[in-house]
Amino acid sequence: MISIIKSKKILRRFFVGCISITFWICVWQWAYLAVGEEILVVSPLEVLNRLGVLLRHWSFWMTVILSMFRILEGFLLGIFLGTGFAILTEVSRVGSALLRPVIGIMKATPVASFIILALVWMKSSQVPVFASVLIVLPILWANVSEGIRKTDRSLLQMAEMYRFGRVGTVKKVYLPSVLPYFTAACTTGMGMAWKGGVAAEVLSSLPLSLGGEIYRSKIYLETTDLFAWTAVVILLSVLLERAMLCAVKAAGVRFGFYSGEGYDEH
Amino acid sequence: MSIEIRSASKSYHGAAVLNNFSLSLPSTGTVCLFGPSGCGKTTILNCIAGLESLDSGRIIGTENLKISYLFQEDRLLPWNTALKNIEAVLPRKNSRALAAEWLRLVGLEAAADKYPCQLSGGMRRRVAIARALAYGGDLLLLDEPFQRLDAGSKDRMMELIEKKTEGKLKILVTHDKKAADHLSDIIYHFDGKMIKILDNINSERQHYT
Ligand SMILES: Nc1ncnc2c1ncn2[C@@H]1O[C@H](COP(=O)(O)OP(=O)(O)OP(=O)(O)O)[C@@H](O)[C@H]1O
Ligand SMILES: [Mg+2]
Repeated sequence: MISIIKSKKILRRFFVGCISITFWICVWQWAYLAVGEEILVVSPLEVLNRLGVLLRHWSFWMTVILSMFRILEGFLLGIFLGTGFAILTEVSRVGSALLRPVIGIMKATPVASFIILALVWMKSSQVPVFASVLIVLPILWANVSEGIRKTDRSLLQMAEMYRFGRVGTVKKVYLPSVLPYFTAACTTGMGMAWKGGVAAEVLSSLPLSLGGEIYRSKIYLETTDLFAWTAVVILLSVLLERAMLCAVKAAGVRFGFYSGEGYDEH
Repeated sequence: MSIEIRSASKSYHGAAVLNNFSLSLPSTGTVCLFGPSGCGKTTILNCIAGLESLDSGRIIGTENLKISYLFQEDRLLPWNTALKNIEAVLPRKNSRALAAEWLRLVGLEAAADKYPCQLSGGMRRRVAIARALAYGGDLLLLDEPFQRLDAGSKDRMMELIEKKTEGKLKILVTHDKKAADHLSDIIYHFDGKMIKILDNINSERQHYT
């Protein structure tokens, strides 16, 4: 009974999503017709056509895979370091005092400055990774820190009374409390990693990269290409975000706690 | 083991809750602390448990003591099922079967796989009672143990607590006169400073029943 209701709900959400997407594609088509200049706005059909052509080339897949790996590498490193920094700042006063200004600076520095600085420092293929790390890190740091700080004190007292021990307290109290914050940070971080990573690829005009292709379409005023490659970036970002959420949720189930949607789902 | 509270004082933001308060506790039996809301009963339990520190004075005899503290609030882990909540305080070996047995004893075997948010207030209370008993501390701190329970399950819980904690010291905080009378060996009237024995003075006891 419950599963029927649930699948009905999912179906309805799917339909609502489809209708909303159709609506915005119609708006796009209307904008295209209203502007009437290929160089400013391309028609949706044209973009779809172009994508069809691109998909047939091996270089498209290489580009997608290489960019994806670069950005994922940055994203994962950012998560890892951001979480580590968060733990350090919450656990140790010295760590907190040392890291706080660093992260403040990191948050405030324009992404473009990072990227241009990185272009001076390192190989251009490493720049997108670097940019993603620097964007994801403070997001994770801020959220995980907050999660640690907001862990219910009364539950921590309970864990102390019932002698959960350090490992037990982390596993049974801290991890489940922080998980929703962590998940939220990952979701935001994934989107930002793509934005920053692709921007870095554009600025370093890296060959075999999504950003590089976007840069090329700008130089040659290939608006169709620009739209097509942007669509690819959006699609990849959304798909990877979904995949990541599934992975985090699966990990939560595996380790005996749930995230996000309350604690009533199995 | 004998626990002694020696001239304990504690204040929050300048407002004294415990004021030069002393009490000698017996080594077994049930001691009931009776007193108006906000007089510092939970505070004294927290101090005995070592969760809060005194401003001055000492509590002797609680070092390294294994304490089962039934908090005034249930403090169940919201991300764990009833069963897992009890398992959490048991040694790993055989914990599942033991936890299931404890749930059965509090009449919740059907709720083993439910999360706290899916249980009623009284059911959550019984899970908390089961957890405190399952942990098997040598000292039991029971803060309003029977709140939100109906008369029937209250009687059953009282019986269970008596049966499972024989020979151990229990400190009971309650507003429930019947439970206090039924369970306690000594009833103290407590208001943070003064303490009055009510138990052996029948006339005063009358006052509360
Ligand atoms: N963490 C705290 N910060 C500030 N004041 C506190 C804190 N804990 C307790 N108090 C104050 O100490 C006094 C005693 O509180 P306590 O919780 O011990 O009362 P109680 O006797 O358990 O009351 P009740 O029967 O309502 O549970 C109250 O006036 C309360 O406002
Ligand atoms: Mg209280």
